[in-house]
Amino acid sequence: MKFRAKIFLAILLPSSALVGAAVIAAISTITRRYEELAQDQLSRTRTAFEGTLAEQLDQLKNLSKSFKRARFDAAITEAVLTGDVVTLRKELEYQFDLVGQVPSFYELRDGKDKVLLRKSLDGPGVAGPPQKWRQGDHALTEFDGQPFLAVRFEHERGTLVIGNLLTPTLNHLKASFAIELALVGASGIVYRSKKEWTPDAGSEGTVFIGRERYLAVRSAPAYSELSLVTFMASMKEVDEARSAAIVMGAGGLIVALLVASLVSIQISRGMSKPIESLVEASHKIAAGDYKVKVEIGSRDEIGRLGAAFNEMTEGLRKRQEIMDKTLSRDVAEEFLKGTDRRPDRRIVTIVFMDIRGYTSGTEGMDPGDVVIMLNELMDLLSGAIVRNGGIVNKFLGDGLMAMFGAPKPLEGHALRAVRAGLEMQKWMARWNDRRIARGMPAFFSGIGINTGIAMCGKVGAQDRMEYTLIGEEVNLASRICGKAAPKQVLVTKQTWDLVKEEMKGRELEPVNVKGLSYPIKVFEVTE
Amino acid sequence: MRFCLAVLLLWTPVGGAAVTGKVTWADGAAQKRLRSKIKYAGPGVSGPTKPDPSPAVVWLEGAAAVKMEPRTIEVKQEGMEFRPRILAVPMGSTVKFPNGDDVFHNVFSYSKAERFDLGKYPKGESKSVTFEHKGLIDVRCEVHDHMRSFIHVFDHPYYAIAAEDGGYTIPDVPPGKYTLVAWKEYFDPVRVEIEVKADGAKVDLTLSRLLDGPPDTAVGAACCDAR
Repeated sequence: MKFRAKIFLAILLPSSALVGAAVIAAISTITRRYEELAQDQLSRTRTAFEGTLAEQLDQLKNLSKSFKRARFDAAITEAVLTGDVVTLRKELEYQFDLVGQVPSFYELRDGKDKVLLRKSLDGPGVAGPPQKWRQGDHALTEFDGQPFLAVRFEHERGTLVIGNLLTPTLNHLKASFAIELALVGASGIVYRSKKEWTPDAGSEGTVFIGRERYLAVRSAPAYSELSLVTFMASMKEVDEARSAAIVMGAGGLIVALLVASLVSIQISRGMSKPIESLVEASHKIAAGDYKVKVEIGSRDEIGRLGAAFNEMTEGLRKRQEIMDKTLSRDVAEEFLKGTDRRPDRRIVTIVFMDIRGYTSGTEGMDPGDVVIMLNELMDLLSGAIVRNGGIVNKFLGDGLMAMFGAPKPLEGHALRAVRAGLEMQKWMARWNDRRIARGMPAFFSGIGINTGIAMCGKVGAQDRMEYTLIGEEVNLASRICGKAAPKQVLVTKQTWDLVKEEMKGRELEPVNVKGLSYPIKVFEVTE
Repeated sequence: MRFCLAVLLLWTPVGGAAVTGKVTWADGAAQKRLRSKIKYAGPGVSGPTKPDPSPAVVWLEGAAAVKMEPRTIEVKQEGMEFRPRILAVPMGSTVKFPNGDDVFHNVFSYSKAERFDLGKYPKGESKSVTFEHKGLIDVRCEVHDHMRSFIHVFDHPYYAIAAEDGGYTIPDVPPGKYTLVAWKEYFDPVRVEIEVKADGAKVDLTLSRLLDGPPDTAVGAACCDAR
């Protein structure tokens, strides 16, 4: 798993867990609180309902108390005896006037259950359903499919029932408490505040009307003749609040996701980017680029790592510089291949240069000045070799040995070597011009070049070795160099054969060289 | 009692025969019920508080109407009672209702034969009602539920208020067939077919059935039948 992903998860998981826990806690708190409120609302409505009923019952009973009085007694007696209800109606209305309350329904029956007087919602005297209840002197009941609170006054001659239509009271309750209610009697629903609601015996607890959730409780006054009196509080608000909380929670999770992404990107940018640049720099260093520098601005551990890395690179670079000065790149690469000391046999061109009259020329000079002078000269000469693709194999005090075609094969190594030789003489001449101009003694060099097969390889002890060329052709090049006059570039026949198309020169008298029994053909290259 | 004698004296036989007899009843139960009706015994009560006796009334039902001299009689309100409790008068008679108590009374009746309401008035004042229709008038006091008086109004002279022991005499009844009615508060009235001969008739009646309700059911029934 990538570092960035790890940070991302490390931030996302706990923050999501926190958000989730907060949302769940909020939802459960909201739900509990709202349901408590709804329960409270329901129980208050029920209390109000029962209280209103009790109050109305009291009024009705007070009314019925007056029916025990002489006037009513006389009137009901008369009505029962003569069937003349005029007095009774007047008397009832008088009594209702006295208490300031006209009930919505009353009915008088004689001892034989004959209706003598009736005022129903449709007007007095309309035949309606019989009195429904027989127990007690008051009841919550139904007449004509409407909810009534009724009291029964038993007279010695008959029975008077007075009822108050409850619909206005129920409407008022609904409006005051923002609650739905329904009453169901034997004949069906006698009241419901919500049309869509079909209350049944199971209307308790959670009830669904359409998609809306309600909390329902029932009321069962002891004097109720109805099969169901139920109150319902809408849970719409709590459900909306819950949905809102869920949406908020989802929003929170998205925010957490975003924050986690941003923070992890930010952090990983601060960590993985430096690491990546370190990795890249390391690759470059492995490829030999020591100039690379990582740019890490932070002051944390990563910053310190970057600084240390730069220090290390600087150290390596310095070492490499030393290596470059002491070892040519191709040789170095040859060493990088391993320390296998088995030599290679290949055709190379070897250049030797030697300063003529060095010993006598430097006599009396300050050794420090001699070193400076030599360095100056060697800079010039080795520059000429390198420019032509050769490698200075070693400096030999007042001379040097260079190779073309080793360790790597080199196209046109002879021609390159000869050109290098000519260039060296040219540089030397200029150098001498400057010295002469400054009144200093001039030095001249002879250059010998040979082409042939040489053993190329690492030579030395296990822990310290050098790359060099060994063979007769190498020795011959050295000998030829010895034969070369100042300012002269001498080449053997092998070399001349390879360059004569390009170069101008002339054959000299063959020379005898040490170690060879026959004279060697030599050519002087002029340009 | 005095009043009963007065009636008897007034209607001394001049022609025809007398219907006599005795009305008997289960006295205990009726008295108990009457007593239970008397609730008031608070301030404002002066004089006797025991209600007047509630004697039986006997008459001939369906007798031909006879023009009679109206009378003026008093029903006092005293000791939270109407005194007398039971009254029988000829049609057209006037009854005065003087208040003898220290409280207001309000005499009224919803009976069809004479509907009236005298309103509230204090001690010493009196109002009167003239009864122009025959029938039984249930007189009450609006203020005191227990106060009752029953006034029988007849358009013929063939009636009598029985003595305390139930004995009665209806004098000067022309011979013929009649229905004899015996009425008493709290009882189902009793009707008996009788034949009055030249020497009169002797009929004993027994009120055996207590009303399963207030006494005035019988009153009403008798009243209406009588009309």
